[in-house]
Amino acid sequence: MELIERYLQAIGRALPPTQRGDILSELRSSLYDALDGADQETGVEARAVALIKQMGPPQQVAAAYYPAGQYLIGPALYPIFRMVIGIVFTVVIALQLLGVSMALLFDSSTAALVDSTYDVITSLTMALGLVVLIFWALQRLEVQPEAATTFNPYDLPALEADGEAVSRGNHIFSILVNVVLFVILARFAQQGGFTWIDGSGFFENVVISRYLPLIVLASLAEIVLDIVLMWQGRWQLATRFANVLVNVGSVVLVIFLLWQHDLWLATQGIGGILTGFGDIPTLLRTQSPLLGMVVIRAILVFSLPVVAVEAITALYHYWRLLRSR
Amino acid sequence: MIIDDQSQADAYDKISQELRRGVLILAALSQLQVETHGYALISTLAEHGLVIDQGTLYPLLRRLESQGLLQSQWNTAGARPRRYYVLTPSGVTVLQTLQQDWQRLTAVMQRLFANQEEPNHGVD
Repeated sequence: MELIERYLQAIGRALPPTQRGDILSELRSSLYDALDGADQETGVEARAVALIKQMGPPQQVAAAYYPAGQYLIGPALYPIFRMVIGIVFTVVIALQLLGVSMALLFDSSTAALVDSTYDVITSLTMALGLVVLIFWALQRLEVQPEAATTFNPYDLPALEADGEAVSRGNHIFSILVNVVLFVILARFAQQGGFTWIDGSGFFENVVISRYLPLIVLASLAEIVLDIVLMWQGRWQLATRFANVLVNVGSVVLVIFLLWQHDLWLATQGIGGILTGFGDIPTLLRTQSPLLGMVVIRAILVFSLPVVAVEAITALYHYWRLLRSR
Repeated sequence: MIIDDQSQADAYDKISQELRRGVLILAALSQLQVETHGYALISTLAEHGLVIDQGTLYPLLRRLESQGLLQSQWNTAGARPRRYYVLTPSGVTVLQTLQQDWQRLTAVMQRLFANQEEPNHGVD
């Protein structure tokens, strides 16, 4: 009966190769038994069609022979897979953005921008694809995570008194801001000072030059903390403490840089912070080389309250979490 | 009661399938105390009012065999080769335990259904 054989062939294509022959022999025998046992008044083809329809599509029949289901990544591995995908995505995007920003410093043409975007997409696809392949292999090898086989309630993580969820948007924004800062600092390191966007003018800043590694370190610390927070998903005591360190460190750094700017500008006859603002229009008109120091000092003045508020907020959150324990 | 709402009918189908899945295992085991081939088992169950299609029964028999509850062998003596299944000693023990479980469960369910018919039972 050709229809039955075609049906068996279609089922066989979706069966595990090691058991294919055995399963098909049994199904063949049973199908022909059923064909013989069906109402003999209808034609053999009509009986075969009815029988096949009753059994269902070949893929559905074959799928019933996979007791654990046919998963690319099964339910036991899926939570770990999702966590790993999240980490890989964040790290690759952060590194790629950093790399692209640095590359664009040396070549900012449209072609370079297209190339860089293409690089980001391909590296992200490759990294995520690799993770999927690894988990697919683990699924095929029927590797079970430890938690799925031996579960002890006492191993459950301690209650997070704060338990506040991390706002991913804020941290992505923070990473982007730090990447932009990196680009500016890298350009500064390359030129030894600042220029206008069109490349004209040159304003040296000896303080930034001298303490560049310190600024880069502070910025890096913030990026690392952002990545860790996005990975963990929730605030913990350790990350709250690290947040205090990073923010207080930023305040100290801004105050220190302000002080250094003041000292240097005083030797050039430029007044303190408040009187120094008044000098900016004159310096702008004359395109004075001192402009680099005065403007950066003004930026530092404006950023001080911002970083101070962030540090106080970080301290408050840490204190609240500490008190609740 | 007739279910005429589509979403209710879908929910009923899913629950009914889940309910049948467990019963089918017990039903199949209960009929395999003597060597039987798949098609004969389908026919026996159908005669007793439990319809099961081949696509469901054969994977189920293989699963039970892989769990050590059944053993099987091919018999090529008849008109066409057939695979015969029978309970292993371990399968016999499991079946007896499952039968006791079933009796307990049906008794519990009957008490629950009786309680449902008399909602104020036991409440002052």
